[in-house]
Formats: sequence, C-alpha cells, structure tokens
Amino acid sequence: MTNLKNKLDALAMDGAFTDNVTKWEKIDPKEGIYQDIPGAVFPVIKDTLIERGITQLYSHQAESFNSVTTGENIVVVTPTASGKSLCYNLPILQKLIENPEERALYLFPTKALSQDQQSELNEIILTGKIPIKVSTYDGDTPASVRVSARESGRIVISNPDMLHSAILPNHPKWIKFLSNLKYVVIDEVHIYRGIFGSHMTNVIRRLKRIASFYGSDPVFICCSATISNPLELARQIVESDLKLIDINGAPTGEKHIVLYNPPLVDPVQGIRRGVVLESSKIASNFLGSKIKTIVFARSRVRTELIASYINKNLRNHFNENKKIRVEAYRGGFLPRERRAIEKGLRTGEIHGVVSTTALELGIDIGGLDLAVLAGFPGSISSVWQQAGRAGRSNTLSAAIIIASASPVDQYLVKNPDYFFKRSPESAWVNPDNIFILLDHLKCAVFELPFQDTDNFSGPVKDFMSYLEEEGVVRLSGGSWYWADRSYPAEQIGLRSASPDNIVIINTTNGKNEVIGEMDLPSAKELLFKNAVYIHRGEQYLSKDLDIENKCCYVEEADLNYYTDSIVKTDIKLLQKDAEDISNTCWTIIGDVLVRSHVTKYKKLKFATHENIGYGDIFLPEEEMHTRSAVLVLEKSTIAGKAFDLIDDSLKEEVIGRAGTVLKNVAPVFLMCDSHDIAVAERLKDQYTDEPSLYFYDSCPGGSGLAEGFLKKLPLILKAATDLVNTCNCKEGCPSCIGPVSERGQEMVKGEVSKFLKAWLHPEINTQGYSV
Amino acid sequence: MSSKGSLAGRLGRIRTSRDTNKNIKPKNEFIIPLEFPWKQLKSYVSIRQGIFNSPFNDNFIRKNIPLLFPEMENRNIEDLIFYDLETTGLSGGAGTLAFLAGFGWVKNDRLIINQYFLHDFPGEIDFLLLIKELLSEDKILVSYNGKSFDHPLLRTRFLIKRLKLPLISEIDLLHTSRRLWKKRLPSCRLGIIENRILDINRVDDIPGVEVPDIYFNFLKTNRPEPLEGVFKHHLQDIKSLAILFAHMEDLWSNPDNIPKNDKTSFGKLMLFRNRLEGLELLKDSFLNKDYEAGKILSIYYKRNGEFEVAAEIWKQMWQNQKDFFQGLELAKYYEHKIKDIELALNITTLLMQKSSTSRVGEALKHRLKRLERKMNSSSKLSEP
Repeated sequence: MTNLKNKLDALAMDGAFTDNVTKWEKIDPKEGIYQDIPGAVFPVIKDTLIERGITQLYSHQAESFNSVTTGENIVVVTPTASGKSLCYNLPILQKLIENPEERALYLFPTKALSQDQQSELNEIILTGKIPIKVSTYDGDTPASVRVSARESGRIVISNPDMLHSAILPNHPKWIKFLSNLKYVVIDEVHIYRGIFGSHMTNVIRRLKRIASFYGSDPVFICCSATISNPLELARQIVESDLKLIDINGAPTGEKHIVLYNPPLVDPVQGIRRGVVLESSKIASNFLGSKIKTIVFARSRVRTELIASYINKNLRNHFNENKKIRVEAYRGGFLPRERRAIEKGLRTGEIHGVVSTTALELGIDIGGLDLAVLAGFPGSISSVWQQAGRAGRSNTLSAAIIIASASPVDQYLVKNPDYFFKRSPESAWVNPDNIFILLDHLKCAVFELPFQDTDNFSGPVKDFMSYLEEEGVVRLSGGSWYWADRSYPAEQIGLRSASPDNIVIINTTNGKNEVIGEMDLPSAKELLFKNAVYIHRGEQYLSKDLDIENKCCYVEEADLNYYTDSIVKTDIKLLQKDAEDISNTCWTIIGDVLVRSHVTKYKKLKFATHENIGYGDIFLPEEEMHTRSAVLVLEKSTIAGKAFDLIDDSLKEEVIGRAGTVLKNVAPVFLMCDSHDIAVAERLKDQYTDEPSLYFYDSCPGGSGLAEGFLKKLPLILKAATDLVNTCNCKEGCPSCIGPVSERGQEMVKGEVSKFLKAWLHPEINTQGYSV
Repeated sequence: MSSKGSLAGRLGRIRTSRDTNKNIKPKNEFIIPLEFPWKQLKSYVSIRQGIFNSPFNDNFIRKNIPLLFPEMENRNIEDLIFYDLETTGLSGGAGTLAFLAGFGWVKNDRLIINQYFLHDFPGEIDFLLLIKELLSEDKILVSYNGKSFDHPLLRTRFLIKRLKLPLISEIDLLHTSRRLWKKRLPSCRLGIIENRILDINRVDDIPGVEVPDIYFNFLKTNRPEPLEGVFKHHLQDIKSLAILFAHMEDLWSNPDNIPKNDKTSFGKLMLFRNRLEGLELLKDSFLNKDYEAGKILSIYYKRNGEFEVAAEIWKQMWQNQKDFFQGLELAKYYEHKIKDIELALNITTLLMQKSSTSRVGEALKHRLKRLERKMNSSSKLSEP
C-alpha cells in the first residue's frame, strides 16, 4: 500500500505527467453511518453476523431489512463494496427461518456472480448452522443437483437466462418452489437496460404470471449501481411500485481519481497520443513496482493490444525470475479460461489483468490497488464501478482515467465537474419492442394458455391472432394454446436481438478447434474474409465467414497490421408514432427501415495506426426495422431558423457534422455504447421534405434509446455545444465534429459551433449572429 | 406509452391483409371407420377398444416361476398396464401435451387395449380424467422409456390441470432391454427390438418424429385420414410392449430357450439376482470363448473364495489374450495366494510393456516396484 502511496506522490511531482492531468481529485475517507442490528433479528443470525465481525449494520442495510420484512418492494442503490448483499440476505434469511415453507429466487446477470453469492451465503449459513438450503441452478448444475434444487432449495440462485429457458417452460416441475415463492432478488439491475432489460421485463412478466397461477405474489428486491433513474428502471423491470433506498452508510477509504488527457501530437488536427499506448505505459509503470493493477479497455481488440504491450514493456525491464504476469480477459473466452484467470488474480499468481467490462461486475478477484481506465467506459456509472474495482473499505486506492480521442472522452475529460457531480445518466428499456414482446408471448402461451381476455403487456388478443396466422398458436373454446412442436424459449436469447452466434474455428495446420464466438452483426464487421482477429494475444486471419452455417474459419497469422471495416447505411421512415412541433425543432418518433452494408475495410498498422491499404468485403446487406428519433429542422422552429442562416454551400457539411457531434455525446446521457445509437443526416429528407437528423437504435425493434434521446435532447445539445467550443483543434478533429474532409473548409467548425449555439440560446443568437 | 397503440395497430394491419382465408372452426364430431371403431365420449375426446390374444402363456399365469421383474412378486398379470403416449412435441416442457394415450391390460386370455384421442385442446381435462379412471395405486405401469418421458409428461399435464395423478410404480422395458441386448444391437429402440428380438415387422410405419406435425395438421384441416397411421403405430407400440414383456419373462423362466449370444447378458443378470442358473449360462458362453462371461464368472468365484477355479479361468484367458484384466488378476493371485513372486513379476513386466494409458502405467509401476522389492528381500533371505 505504501508502495502505491509512494508511486502516487512521485507522479504528482512529475511535470511530464501532471501537465496532462485535467483533474486530480482526492476523495477523503468517509465514516460509515451505523445502526444497531434490529432486535427482531433471530439470535442464530445475529450471532453469525457478530462472529463474522458485523456488530452493527450500515444504515442502508437496516433500512432494507425493515422494508423487506414488512413486505415492501425495494431498490437499493449502492456503490461497489458497501455490503450490498446483506441488504437482501439478512431480511430473506430472517423470513425464511420464520416461515419454513417460503422460498426465494436470486437472479444475477452472470454465472460467475451466482457462484460468488453461493459461496458467500454458504459461509453465513455454515457458520451459524442456519437450516436454509441454498442451491445454485444454472447451465453448469448437474442433473442430480437440479432435482434437489427444485425440491428442497429454499434459496435458488440462478440467472435470467435459466429462468427464461429452463425454469418457466418447465414450471410444473417447480410447483413446490413457485407456489411458495415469496422473494425475488434482482441484483445488478442497472445491467438490465436496452435489449437485455427489455427482455428482462418480459421474463419478469412471465414469472409473475406463473407465480400467480400457483397462488404466489413475491416481493421484489433490486440492487443497482449509481445511475440517475434507478427507481424508474426498477419500476420498468418489475412493473410494480418500489421503495428507493439510496443513502449509502458504508465507509470508504481514501481514493485518488486522476483524469488524464494524452498530450497533443498534432495541435492543428487535434491528434493526441493514443489511449492504448498511454495506458500500457502507465499501467506498466505501476505493475513494475508490483502494484496490483486492472486495466479496463473498451473493446476486445484493445484488451489484447494493451495486454501484449504491457507484457512487452515488462519483459524488457525485468529479469525472468521477477517476471510479472499480466493477462487479457474478455468475452469470447471459454468459461474455463475465465475461471483460471479469476483464480490467478485471487491467489496473486497474476498481478495484472486487462479486461473489457466483463470484469466490471462484482466477480471476486481479490483486492486490487489501481484501476487504469483506457478510455471512458461509456457511462459514468461504469467509471465508478470500474474505479471501485481497486480498493476495499479503509484502504488507499487510485483510478487513472485516460481519455481517448473519442468525443465522449474529450467532453468528459474537459468537463470534470460534470463527472464528479451526481450521475446524470439514465437507463432505458423498451419491453414492448414488438420483436421481443412477440418472442415472450410465444414463451408465455407455451407455459400456460391465454384466455381471450387476458393481459400481458396489454390485451393479448391481437398478438395471439397474429401468432395463430403464423401457425404456432390455436384458438379453441375461448383460449389460445401453443400449437407447435418446438420449444420456443430455446430459440430466444435474452442478451442480443439476434440469436445467431458465429462460432470461430481455428483451422491452422489442419486443426479444428473452437476458440470463441461472436454475434452476427459484430461478426460482419470484425470477422469478414481477410479480417485480422486477435484472440488472447494471438493474431488470426479470417479465411472465410460462413454466415449460413454460422461459423468463421481463421488461421494463425503474423501480420503488422489490424483491420477496421467501413459500413454504409440507408434509412427510411416507415411509420410515425408521435410528433411534437412545440420543441426547439420538430421532433418525430417512429419506425424506420435501415439497410446497412459492410463494403470495405482499412488495414491499420500496429503502434502507429497508420492506414496502409483497403480491401473489399462481400457480404449480404443487413436489413433492420428499428425505432428512431427524427429532428426536423423546419424553418419556423428555433433550430430551423438557426440552420437557415447558414450559407447554402455549407449546409450539407454543417448538418452532417452537427449530427455527428450530437450522436457522439448522446451515450453520456443514455447509458449506452457509442455503437448502440446511430445517426443519419439528410439535407432534404424524402419523408419530411426538410433538413432532418435521424438518431436510431442499432437494435432491431428498438431498445428505448430513440425515446430516451428526445427526453434528454436539451442536455445532449448543451454537451455537444460545449464539446465543440472546448475542443483545442482548429478545424475539427475526430474528438468533436470529425476531421476535415477533402472538400471541407476551415470555416466548418465555426459554423457548426454557431449553429449549435443559436439552437441552444436563440435569444443571444439574434443579437450576436451576423449574416 | 405512445408506441403501444401503434404496435397493436401494426399487428392489426398485418392481420387484415391476410384475413381472406379465415380459419376453419373445429368441428365436434369425429368418426373414422377403422378396424376398430371410434366412439365419442366427451365433446373433444374419443375412445376405441381393441381386443387381442394375450401373449402370456398359462405357465406365467400360474406364477410358480422365477420372475425377471421383482415388482411382480405377489402380484397378478392383471395388475399390469401397458401404456404409451403420442405427444405434440418431443422436447417436453409445459407447452407439450399428449393427444393420444393408450392403455393395455390382460384379462383371462385376452389383451384389451383402450386408446383415447384428444380432438382439440379444450378437451384435455376430460381426456386426463378418463385416463385417471384407469390408473390406481395397486396397478403397475409398463412402458418403453416411460420413466423419463411419458410419466413425467403425464404428471406435468395433471399438475397444470390441477388434478392428482396417483402414485403408481412403473417397469420401464427400455432399461431391461438395454441390460439384455445393448451389446449386440445397434440401438435399443422399440422398432429394433421388435425386428431383431420379437420378429415383428411393421409395414408402412410412421416415424415417431413426424407424429406432432400430423396432429397439428389435423387441427388445422380437421381431416382425420392421416391420423390413421398414427393410431396404428400407437396401437402396435402397446401390443409390442405386452409381447416383449411376455418374451422377457418367458426366457427368464426357461433358460434353455435363451439364444446362444444372449447367454452372457442373461447369465450376468441372473447372478446379479442370486440365481445360480446364471453360472451355467456363463460357463456355456465362456466355452464359446466369450471372455466377458469369463470375467464375470471369475469375479464371482473370487468373491466366493474359490480362487483356484477363478485362476483356471484367468489362465485360460491369459493364454489366449495378454489383456490387462486377466494379467493383473493372475499377478495378484501369484503374489498373494501362491506366493510365486517371480511369476507375478513376469506377468507385470509384460503388462507394463503393453500398458497404453499413463494412469494404468502408474499403478503397474507401483506394483512392479513392490514385487521387485519382495523379490530382492526374498533372495537375500534365502542366501544364508
């Protein structure tokens, strides 16, 4: 620990480092707010807590206990390491001892988290000899244990996918459990946003429907990381009222948060040193002093790059004996590889790890001292979760956040106040996404026939008639019955819109070995023929992407470049659902048809990232129905007036750049990834006949982002304006409105800035703007 | 939410565009002339009854014979219910149901089979109630793969309709078939057993996987003709169950009739059930160079303390095949019983050279070391 302190002190004195620091925030340690363990708590539990060193509760734990034991639904908002699980374990153990028939279901978004919770509960239960059986029920549970989980598990720990595909479709086997289901815990509820969240709401609808068939009506306990609308999100997921518990009573240790903007290499074009190299350098510096470090990178490719750079750096600096081990960790690894890395981190055999968000959730990897964030992870709440990976209560820890050239990063690194104030981000779901809803209605009618007059998300009748025409349900005697041989849940995945995963097969030297998998849309952009694919630091060259058979054949390769694809899109408004002309511009929400086509790719050299060539991609066009927000710059609106003042020759350029910058900052407010939302700009749109900006959801049917975009429009507009104005570049750069194009004039950036200002502050505009 | 109305609206539009070919409403009457006529019992359920010759002979009915199925102890052949279901899907789950259920039982020298047919979903509760009438706790169900498929499915259907399925024991002939014939048949599907063991050859039989679609087709068109094949297939399944049961018991009580290549598996099962006639079967097989039989026999003798008899078998086997089982057993026998360390060492050395897997190799290495140690110490002792 003193190690870390020394290192931080040294850095603070190092001008070459501090010159690039936009904010060095020292967060003082905070005392906890404690309450006595409530008198109602059974001695058997109380003694166990005392034995485990818990003599008092944090205030949020006590409040949760009081609410849950009186039957209230709650949502608890807590940062990392604040004793969150006691918020549900304490009241549930209490009630399960009191009522020996009652059961509880715990849902975690990942298997690893379930296993962690099982071992944590086991410790409490074994220490206190508490007579409650806890069973994990997931894909890895052996058949023999499954039976006992169903029959005698008082607390069953599972995940939404198992609930959806194994428990609900086989509910009669679970009759004992479901008839007595009294508590449902949904941990990490903020993860259930976008598509996953939209599925989750429907899975919970199905659970409630089956529970009520068996006469039970469970209490819901949700836990969320810090977002701005935890209550709203939890309400959307469980569709019941909940009580919000958001005052954190846990103490925290001293923490340093450093925002670091890599130095400008080319001030004219606004080019900075790359985040990959900077974070590798900084992490290597700390790792060299044996400070346990986690580096979070934004993409799979980057985790691999950074891990290999760090290993290379360390290899040069240290002798073989002292070799410090650093591993990459990301989606696409096989479970056994992941478990091995997690274990290595706990035992200290591995000193550093470079991870995607895969490790962000509470998987136990032991105490780390430093978190290096190679780029902002897309949401402020993720920043805090990732930063929270370093340090436990009462110990010093640090997080260094390195801004990339992306607009979101540049906005946040230059507006640190925004970052340290209360999180403004909200999570969105769209459970009535027509594709998702229909999928779950199929599952629901498989589970139990619907009466003609039943409700699910609303009346089921229209949906059922539609499914009848599809030939999978049958109306008979006033009820709708599942009438197909298939098992619908099997074909529906909760985590992505399309269930088709591409399996990646290594065929080097006649091998035939599966090394990972990837969803189809990503595969089209990352695994096209001749793409360079990096897996665990190894380079592979894609030989063939066989979409029909859902596999991609790759061979090991040794190349000095990586590849990046270029996507072309076309958009058409199909149907208008709502519009508003009273806004600063005319806004529309509706369904759109997006056609996209991956046509070309770039070859980029490692280390310098310079472009060394192009290649063609021959893949079928992708068609998608989704939801879009449309901003129409109609002349009578404020935005329209501002736009009209722009010189005609610049209009196309300005609307394109403005669209880019708005789209670029939107993820800050929508809690999504930058590729979850896309933009299309039209100088004269076919449908509206006016200059129009489409902000559409990248997921079929929409995940709530289009609606969210309109709600947050004023904030997004302000952020976009600030970003353009605070960017150091002269003519536009990738960090704000995009780099200067061939026909671009140096005026464009200024014009975009004026346009956005006039839109945001019409009153100033009329005086200050000259034609 | 503003979008909700429009989603339903969109579905509505899709629907009106296709509304031209309205679905045909299900009719309530259902009569097809078959070899046995169907009779409609309830609005959505029909029944037919077939009467056949019982495959059981008097000998079995007198039941002073050894029984293959211990469940039959002190029970009558009349207590058995041979049953099978045809279902709307093969993967199970709450949305899969049975639309055809057949139950057969023996009365005097007749085999009586009832088939119940569900015309449409709303009749399921009546369908299940009719089934319930046949089932009681003093019966024994006989099925083919019923323990893992038909029985749980029936239990699920009863639960969903809030009915109680009586607790009733079950003999699953698939398990017994596997014990007896797995080694010599490509699979133990009922069709294969009929063909290779019972000499029953079905003509124009419908593959089981096609059954759900035939039923759904019937629901859509209300044309029952294609179902005829399903009814026939299903009836044969139940007949075959009774015939197979009788055949198994018959062989069990008359070991002389057991075919040459089944003697080992029958003998093994008899020994397992403490029927010493199994020894004769196994000896026969062993004489015919079936070393699996030799293995079972020798283990039996070894456990009974008859080491010399067991050793004779191992020697014979070892002479012809230098395999691990007989080698190791002989080595142990020479080392511990005969105390001939040198012979034991020779065999172990030979096995070492042949051993392929490392795990076996480790065990042998250990044994070899111990033998060498013994060898050395005994030679030292004999020196002075």
